[in-house]
Amino acid sequence: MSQTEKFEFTPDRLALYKEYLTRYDDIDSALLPTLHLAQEQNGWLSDSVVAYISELMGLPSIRIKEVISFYDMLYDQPVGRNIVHVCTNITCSMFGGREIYSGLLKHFETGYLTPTRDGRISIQKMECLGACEQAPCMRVNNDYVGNIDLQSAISKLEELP
Amino acid sequence: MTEKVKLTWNGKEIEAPKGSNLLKAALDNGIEVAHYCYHSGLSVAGVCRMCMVEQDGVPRPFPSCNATCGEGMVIRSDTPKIKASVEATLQFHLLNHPLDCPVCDQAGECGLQDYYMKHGQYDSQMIDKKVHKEKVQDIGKNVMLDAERCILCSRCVRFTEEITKTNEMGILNRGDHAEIQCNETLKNDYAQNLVDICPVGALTSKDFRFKQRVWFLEDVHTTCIGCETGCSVKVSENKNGAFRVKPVYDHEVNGHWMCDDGRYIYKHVSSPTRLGGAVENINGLFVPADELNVQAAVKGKKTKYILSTALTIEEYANFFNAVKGKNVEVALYTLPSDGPEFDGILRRGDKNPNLRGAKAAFELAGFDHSQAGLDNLLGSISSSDAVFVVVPEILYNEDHFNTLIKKVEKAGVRIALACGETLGTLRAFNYLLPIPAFLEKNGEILNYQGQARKLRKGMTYGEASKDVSYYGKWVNL
Repeated sequence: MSQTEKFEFTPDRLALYKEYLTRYDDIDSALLPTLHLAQEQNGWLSDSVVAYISELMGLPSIRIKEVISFYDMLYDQPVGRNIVHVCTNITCSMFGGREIYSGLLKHFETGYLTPTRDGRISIQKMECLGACEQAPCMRVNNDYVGNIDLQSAISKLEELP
Repeated sequence: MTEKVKLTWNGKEIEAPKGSNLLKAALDNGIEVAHYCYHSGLSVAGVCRMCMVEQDGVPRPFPSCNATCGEGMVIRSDTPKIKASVEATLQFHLLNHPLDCPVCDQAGECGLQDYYMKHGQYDSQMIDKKVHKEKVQDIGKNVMLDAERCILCSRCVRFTEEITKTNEMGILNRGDHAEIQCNETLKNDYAQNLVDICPVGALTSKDFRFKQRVWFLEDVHTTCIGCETGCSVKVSENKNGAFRVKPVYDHEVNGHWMCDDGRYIYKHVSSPTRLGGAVENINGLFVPADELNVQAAVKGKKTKYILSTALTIEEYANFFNAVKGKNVEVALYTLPSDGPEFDGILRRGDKNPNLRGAKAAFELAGFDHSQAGLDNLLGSISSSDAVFVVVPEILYNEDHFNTLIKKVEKAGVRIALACGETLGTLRAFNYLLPIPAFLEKNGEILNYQGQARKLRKGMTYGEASKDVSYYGKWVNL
C-alpha cells in the first residue's frame, strides 16, 4: 500500500542501521532487523518505506516485499497505535485463547489487524508467544499480559492511550 | 578440456565433466529425470524435489540438481524409494492446482501433465478445499499470469534476477498462500522467455493463447531474422499459419533465450494480407494482375534493383548470376539502427540480418553496396527506368523506408518485391510481386559474428519459387 509522505530514517536510527551492517557477513541478513527498525519508526511498511530501504541497502524492492509478506509481524498495511497479539496456539487455546481473540474483535468492532475506528488498537491472532506458563496470554506492544480472560483483556486494552 | 568422469545411472554408464551438474549429466545423456525447478540456463534452486536420486553409500535420497558429478558414482533413480518420493512430491505439487487443462494453453507441453501420466497417484486424497488465487493477470509485455496454476518452481524469479537483472517477479506470502507476483509490470525486453521456462501454465503468452493447441503444431528449426544476432529459433506452424516463435538452445549465439522483438517475426508470413501473386496498383487499389503484363510494362526500360539485407546468401548469388554481364544497376538498402548497438544480452541495434552476406555478394559481383552506391542509383533515376525495390522483410522503420520510396518516384515503372503484408506504404509502387518469406526458403545468412546461420523451409503460405533471381532475369527485356 502506498503512503504519500516520503520516509527516511531518523539520524539515531540510521546510526543503528549502520551498526546492524557490522553484525552480519552479507547485507541480506541485515534486512530483518532493518525492517523492524523502520516499522518502529513508521508503524507499518508502506511502499515508500520499501523504496527507501531498497535504495539504502541496494536490494530489489520485490525481495523486500517477499520478506514482509512472509512474516506476520511485518505489516504491509496501516495498523493502530498499539499492537495486540492474542495467542491461539495449543496451550492458550485450551485455556480459551481463541474465544478471547474473537471476543476482543467483537468488543472493539474490528477484524484481523484492522485498526479500530479511533486508530488506537490493532488486534492480531498469533501463533505461540512462548509463554505457555501464563496461558491464555496476550502481548500488548512489547509486554506480555498473562492469565487473562475476556473481561480483564478488554479492561487492559481500554487503558491503552 | 575439462576432466571427464564416468558414473553409472540406473546401470547405464555415462560420462560427464568432473564437478558438473549431476542432473544435467543425466539429461544430456538422454536419461529422463522428472524436474521442474532446474533449468540449465539458471542457478540451482532445489525447490521442486522431483529429481531425487539414490547413491550407493549415501543413506538418504537427495536432489540430483544440487549434486555434482564425481568419478565412479553409482546413481539410481528407479528404486521403489525414489518412486514413492516422486509420487508423493507430485501429489503436493497438485494440491492446489486447479486442473483447468481443457482451457489451459500449456496443455500438451505441460510438466504437470507429463509427470502425472508417469508418476501420478490418480486417486485424490484431498478432503480440504483448494486455495484459490488470482487468475488472468496481465503482467505486461504480453505475458499472462495465472497464480493458481503455479507450482512455485521460481524459474521466473531467477530469470528476472539473473538474466535480465530487472527483478520484477517474486514469491509473496507463505505456505499454501505463497504465490508468484509481479512487482508492478514487467519491463524487460526478454519477458516472453518467462513463458518458455514456466514448466506449467502459470505464465502464458497473450499473443499465442487460445489460438492453437500445441499438438496441432509442427516446429520448424530456423533462424531469427529480426536483427544481426541471428538467434536459433523454432517457428510453430500448421496449414493455417505460423503461430509462435520460441528459442532453440545454441551455445554459440543465443544460449537459451531470445528477445521479445524476435517473437513477432512470423506475423507477416501467414498474414491474411500477405501478398500472394502479382498485383497492379490502379489508383491506390491493389488489383490482381498477370505477370506477363508486368513484364510488358518493364520491356524497353532500363532496369535498376535495390536489394534488401534480409535475403539469403544463395539468393544473392543466384541473383547476381542472373544479372551477370548485363547492363544493370544494383544497390543495397540497409535499415537504420534501432536502439542501442547491443543491449548486453542478445538484442542488437543493427536490424539487417544478412548485411555481411549481402556485402560479400555485392563485392564478388563488383557492385557497390555502400550508401553512396544507393545514392548514385537513386540520383540517376529517370522516367525511362524500371526500378525493382526489395521491401525489407521485417520493416522496423517505415518512415525511413518511405524516404527511399520518395526518391524512387521519378522512375517510369516502380515494382516492389515483397514477402510481407500489403502495407499502405506500398501504394507508391505500380506493381507488387511476391517473393518467399524466411519461413519458405532454405538458405544461409551471416550473422554479426560472420557465422553462417541456417534458414529452413517450413510450409508455404505465399510465393516460394519466384525469388529475386527469378525477377533478376527480367533485366533489359
